[in-house]
Amino acid sequence: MTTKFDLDDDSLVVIIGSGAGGGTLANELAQKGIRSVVLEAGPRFGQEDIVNDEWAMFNKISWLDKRISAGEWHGKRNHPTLPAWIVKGYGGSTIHWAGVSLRFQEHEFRMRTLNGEIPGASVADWPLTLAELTPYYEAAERKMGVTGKTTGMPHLPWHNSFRVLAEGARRMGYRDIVSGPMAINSVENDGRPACQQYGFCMSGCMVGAKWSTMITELPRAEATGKCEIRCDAMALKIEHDATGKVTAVLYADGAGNIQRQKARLVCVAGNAIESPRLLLNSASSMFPDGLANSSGQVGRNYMTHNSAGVFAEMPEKVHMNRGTTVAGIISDEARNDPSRGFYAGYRLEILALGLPFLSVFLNPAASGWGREHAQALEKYAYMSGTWICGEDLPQAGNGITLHPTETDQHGLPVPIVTKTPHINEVNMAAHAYEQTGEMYRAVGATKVWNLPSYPASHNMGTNRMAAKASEGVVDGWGRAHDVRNLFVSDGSTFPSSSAANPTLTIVALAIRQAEHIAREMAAGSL
Amino acid sequence: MSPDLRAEARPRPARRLSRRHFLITTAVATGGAVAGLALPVAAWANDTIGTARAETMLRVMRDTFPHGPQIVSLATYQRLVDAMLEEAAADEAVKMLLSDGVDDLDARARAAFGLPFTEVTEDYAREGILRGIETTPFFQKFRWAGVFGIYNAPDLWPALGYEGPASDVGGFLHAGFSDIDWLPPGPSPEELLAQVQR
Repeated sequence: MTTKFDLDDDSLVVIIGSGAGGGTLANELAQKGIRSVVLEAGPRFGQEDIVNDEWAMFNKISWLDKRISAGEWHGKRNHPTLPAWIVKGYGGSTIHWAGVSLRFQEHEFRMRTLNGEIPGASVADWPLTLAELTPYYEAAERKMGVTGKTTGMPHLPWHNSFRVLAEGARRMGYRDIVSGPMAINSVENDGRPACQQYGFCMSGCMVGAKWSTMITELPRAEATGKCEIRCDAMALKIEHDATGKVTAVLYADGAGNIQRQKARLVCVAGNAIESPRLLLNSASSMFPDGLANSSGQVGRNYMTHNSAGVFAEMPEKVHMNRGTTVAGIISDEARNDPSRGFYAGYRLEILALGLPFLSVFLNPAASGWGREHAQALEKYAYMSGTWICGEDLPQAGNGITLHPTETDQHGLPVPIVTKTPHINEVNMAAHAYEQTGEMYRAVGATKVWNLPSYPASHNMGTNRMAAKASEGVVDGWGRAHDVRNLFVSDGSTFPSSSAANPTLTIVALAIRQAEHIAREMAAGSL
Repeated sequence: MSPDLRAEARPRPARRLSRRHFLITTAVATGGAVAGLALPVAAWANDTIGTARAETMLRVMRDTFPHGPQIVSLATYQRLVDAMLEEAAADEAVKMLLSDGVDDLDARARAAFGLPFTEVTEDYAREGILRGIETTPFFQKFRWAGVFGIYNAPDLWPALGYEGPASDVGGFLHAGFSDIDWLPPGPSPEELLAQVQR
C-alpha cells in the first residue's frame, strides 16, 4: 500500500529528485525508519516502459524542458537548447546511465595539492579522502551489484566491438583493459536477472539486469511504508523561517497547482543543473544571492567530463550493436601525469550506438549530412566506437545562471548552462583522439572519425563541497554551510570530476550522507 | 539558430500519407511502373508549391543523404518529400519556408552555374551549393527528415547493415554475440572470474 504523507507534516525529510542521489538516499533513510517524501519532477516509470528504441526512449525519458547552452563549448554550437542529456522521471538518470561503476582514484580527491594552482581553473581538494570513502564505495558496489572484487561477480564477457579496441590497445602496449566494473548483473543477483546483451542500455535496461533506482531503491523505499514518491512534482522554491532554517518546499503538481510540502530537512538531488537552479530560485531577503550561497559558489564550477568520441571503420564486420552499450574500459591514461602536456587523466570506454543515434552523433553539427556522411553510415556493420571520459577541470566562470527574462512552463527562469573548455581540456582531448585513433589503426581501421561530445550526461560541481564555508556550498557530508537542515545529495557537490563516471560516487556519498543524517537526527541536532 | 535535437526529436503528429494518396503520387510519378525504380520525376505533379519546386525538394532530399537505390529507394525519398508537402498544405509557414527555400536555392544555382538546382548535374557541385545553406531552417528540415525517415526506419536497416534490437530472440547473447573471428577472443569465463578474486 502506497504511503501518503500530509503536506503539513513537518517531521519529514523532503528529497528533491529520485535518481542516483535522491533515490539512494530515500531508500537508505527508509531502511533506517526515517520518513521521507521524494518530489520527482517527471512521471512515474516502470520496467514496462522500457523498449529497445533509441529515439522513442529519448523522447519518453529525457529532460526536455528548455535550457540554453552558452560559452564556447560544443553545446552552444550543436545543442543550443539541450546542453545535457539526463532523465526526468522516476529513477532519474539511473535509467539512462550505462552502468560503468568506477571508483575515483586517490589523486582525484586532491588535485589542488598535487598540481598546485592551475591558471584559469578553480581546482580544489575534496574535504574527504579515498580512504574515508572506500567503505561506502564497497557498500554502493554491493547495493548496485557491481561486477568486481567486492561482490565476486565476474565482469561481463567481451563483445565484438570491445575486442577490436582492446586488441588495438594491446598492440600499442596498453595493459589496463577490463570489461568492468559494471552495475550490470553478469549472473542473477538481488532478484534481478543476468544480462542477456540486449544492448540499448542508455534507453533503459529491458530486463532489469542493470541497476537503476527505478527498479531497486525506489520501490524498496516505498515498500517500507516510510517513503512516498510523488511524481510530476516539480520543486520551485525552498522556503525558510526567520532563523534561516528551511521549512518547506513549494512545488507544482501534475495539474499545475502549487503545493507546499513542509519539511524537517530538505535534500536537493536534482542533478547539477536543477539543484543550483533551485537554490538560486530560492533567494530571499535573508539569502539575496540564493539559498546557501554566502560563498558565491552556487552554480559555479560546472563540469561535464572532457568527453569526445572516436568511431572507426574496420576492415571486417564488427556489429558493435551486439551487446551492452559500454562494454569495456581502458584505464592506462587515467593517471595524473602532466608530462603528457595536460593535468589529470582520461579513460577510454567502448561505446555502441545504434544507427538511429549514430546518424546524428557521427556529426551532430548542422554539417552532419552529405555523401561522406551517408557512405559512412552504410558501413555501420563495420564500425566500432569509443567514448573518451577525461577529467574536466573546474572553472569559476563555467556554470548555471538564470535567464533574465525567459521562463519555463512553471514561470521559473530558464537555466543558462555556460561552459568554455580550459586549454587543459583541449590538450587532453587531442592526446586522447590521437591514442584512440592509433588503437583502431593498429587493428586495421580504414577510416577514423573524431566526434565532438554528446549533450552532457555527467554534470558535476555546481554546489561544490569544501571544508571552509567561504570556499564551498556544502561540507564533506553534503550539508549546506549556511543552512544546517539543508543538504545536497547529487553530483553537484563534486569538487573535481575525475576520469570516472559519476554515478557510483554519487551513490557512495548518498549512503554516507544517510548515515550522517540518521546520526544527527538521533543526536537531536537536526 | 538552427533547429536542434531537443526540438527536432519530439514526436510529431502523424503525417503518414493515406494509402490512396500514396498510390496516386507513386502511380503518377512512375507512369504506372513499379514504385522505386527509375521514375520520370517530371511527371510528378504537386499543387502545394508547384511541381517544379517539389522536384527540387526531391533532389535536395536525395543529396542530403545520398544512397544507392538498392539501399534507399527513390520512393522512400519521395515519401519524405511528400510528408513535408503535406505539412506545407496544412501550415502556411511551412509552405513559405519550403517555397522560399527552393527559390533561394535556385537563385544560388543560377548565380553559380547558370542553371536551376536540379539541372546542376555534378553531385559535388550540388552539395557545394547546399553547404552554403546548411545552417538554414529550410535545409535542416531535410536533414532531420532524413535522420528520422531513413536511419530510424526499421525497414531500411537491413540494407544499411544495422540489425536493430534482439528483443525477439532474448538478447544478442543468443544472436551472434562476440562472434568475430578476425581478432583474438576475449577472456574465457574462468579468466573473467579470476579477475575478481580478492
